[in-house]
Amino acid sequence: MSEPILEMTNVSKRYRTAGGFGRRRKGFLAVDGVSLRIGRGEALGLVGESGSGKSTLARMANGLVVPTSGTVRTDGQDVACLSRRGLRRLRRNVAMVFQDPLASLNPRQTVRQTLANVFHAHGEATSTAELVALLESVGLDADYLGRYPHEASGGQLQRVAVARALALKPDLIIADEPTSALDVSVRAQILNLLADLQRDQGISFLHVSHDLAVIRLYSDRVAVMQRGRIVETGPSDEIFRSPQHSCTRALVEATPEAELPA
Amino acid sequence: MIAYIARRMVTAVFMLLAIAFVTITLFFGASKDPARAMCGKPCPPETRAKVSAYMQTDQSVVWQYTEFVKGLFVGRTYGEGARQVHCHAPCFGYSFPNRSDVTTLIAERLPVTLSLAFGAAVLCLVVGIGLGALSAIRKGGIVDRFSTGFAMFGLSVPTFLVGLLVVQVFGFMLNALPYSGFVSFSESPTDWAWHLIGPWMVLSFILAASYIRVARTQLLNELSADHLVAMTARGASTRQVNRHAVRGVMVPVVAMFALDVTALLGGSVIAERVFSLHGLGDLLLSGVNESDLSIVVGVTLFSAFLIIVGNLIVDLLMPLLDPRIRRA
Repeated sequence: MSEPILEMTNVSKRYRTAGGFGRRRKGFLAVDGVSLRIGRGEALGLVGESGSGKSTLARMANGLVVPTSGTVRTDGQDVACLSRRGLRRLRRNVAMVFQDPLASLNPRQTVRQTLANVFHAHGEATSTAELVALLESVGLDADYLGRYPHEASGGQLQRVAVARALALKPDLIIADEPTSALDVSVRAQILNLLADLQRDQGISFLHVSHDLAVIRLYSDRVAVMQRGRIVETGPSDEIFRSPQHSCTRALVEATPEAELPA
Repeated sequence: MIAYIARRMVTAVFMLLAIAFVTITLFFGASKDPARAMCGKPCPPETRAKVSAYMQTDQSVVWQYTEFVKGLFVGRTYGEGARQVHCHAPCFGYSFPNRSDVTTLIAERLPVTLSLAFGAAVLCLVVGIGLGALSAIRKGGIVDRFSTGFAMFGLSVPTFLVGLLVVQVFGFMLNALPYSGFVSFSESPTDWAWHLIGPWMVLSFILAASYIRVARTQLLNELSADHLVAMTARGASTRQVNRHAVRGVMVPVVAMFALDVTALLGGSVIAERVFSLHGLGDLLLSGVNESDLSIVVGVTLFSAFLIIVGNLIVDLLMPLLDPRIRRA
C-alpha cells in the first residue's frame, strides 16, 4: 500500500475552558490520543454521538484545528510544520464539506463568485465553461451560477458546496455531517454523489456522521468514537454485523431498520 | 430603479405634508399665543388682536395649514400697506421676532450645523469602527477591554456633561482649545477646525459608543461564520477572508450611520448650546423660548426632510451591500 493520504498518530486536543477566581483551568479534552489512517482512494467513516470529538478530529486533518499533541500527516506533509502558505497549498488538495450549506456558503455571493473564489484563493484563472463543468459534475445546470444561496434549496446548495470542494481536483474531501442538515429525501442523492466521486475520481473521503446507516453504505472502513477516543475500527459491514464495543452496539441499535438505497 | 426612486419621492412628499400638519396643529393649536410675545409689555386686548391678525395666528389651524402649504409653492404675504412683508416661495413661514423668513434663517445657520455634523461623523466612524474592529480581532485583549468600557461610558453619560467637561478641562483649565465661537471654513480652514475640535470630540464620543458595539459584535459574528471558515478551509488567505468579513459588517453600520448623520444635520441642540455655536439646534431652541412657532415648524420640517432623505439613501444602498435585500 502506498503512502496514506491521512495519517494521525496519537493526536490529542484540549480546549481551554473559562476559568474564574479560585477555579483551576482544567480544559476539556475533546480528542484523546487518537491514531487514524486513510489510504489513497479510501473512504473512512467516523461515527460517534455528538460531542465525541469527531468534528475536532476531522478539522485537524486540514489544520483548521491545531492538535495539542501528536502528529498529523496529510498528503505526506506534517501539518504542524507547514507555513501559512504551505497550509493554503495543502488546503488546495484537501477540501471540506460542511454540515449546513446555507451557513457555509456566503449569503452575499452568487454561486459563481463562491466557486471562483476557490480558484482566486490559489491564484488560478477560471472560465465560465470550467465553472459550468464543475456544476454539472454535481448534477446542477449552468443557470445556478447566477443564484444566491437563498434562491436555492438545501439539497442544491449542498451540491454547490460539493462543487466548491471539487474545484482544483482535491485528493481528500472531509465531509463533516454533510447530510444531517438536509431533508431525508435529498440525503441519499448527496450521499450517492459523494460515493460516485470516490469511485470515479479516486478521491479519498473522511466522512463524519452520527448516523451509522449512512456510514455503513458509503464508507469502506468505519471508526467509532466515544469521548475523544476511537473505541472500534474495522470494515463497515463487519462493524455493523457484529459490533464489539457497547457504544457501537448502541449506535447500531439506534439505526432504523429501513435501509437507504445503495 | 427610477420608478422606485420616483415612488419613494412621492411618498416622501406626502409624509412631509403629514408631518407639517402635525407640527402646525401641535404648535399653533397650543395655548401659547405667539402674538402675545410680539405684542410688548403693556398689551391691551385690542393691540394683541391686531398683532394676531397681522401674524395670521388668529385663524383656525386648518386655514393656517393650507396657507403654509400654499406658501411653499407661491410664497406668502403678511399684513398690508406699509407694514406688508412678503415671504418668497418656498416659504417655510416668517419669523416676526427675527424679521426674517425661516428659509433664510435656516440657510444662515446651516454652515455651522454642517461643519459640526461633518467632523463629528468622520471622527465617530473612524474611532467607532476602528476600536470596534480592533477589539473584535483581539477579543478579550487590552484594546477590547478599554473600548468596551469606553463604549459603556459613552452610552450612559449625557451629552451636556461631556460637553461641559470638555469645555472645563480643555477650554478653561488647559487653555488648549477655544470654548466657544465659530469661524467659517472659507475664512480660515485651520481656525474653523480649531474651533470645532471640542464639539466634534463631544458628539463623536457619544456617537462612537454605539459604533464600537455594533462593529465589534458584527465582526465577531462574521469571523466565526461558517462561510468564512469554509473559505479558510479551501485555502483562502486571511486577507481574502477579512475582506469578506468587512462586507458583512458594513450593512448595519451604513444603516446606522445614515440615520445618525441626518439626525446630526438636523442640529444638535445640546452640543451647540454648550459651545455657543449658532446652528440649527440653537435656532430651534430660541424658537421654542420666544414662542416663535414659525421657526419651530420650519426646523422640525427640515429635520424630517433630512431623515426621510437619509432613509431613502440607505434603502438604495442596502441592495448593493447585501444582495439578499431585494426590492419588491
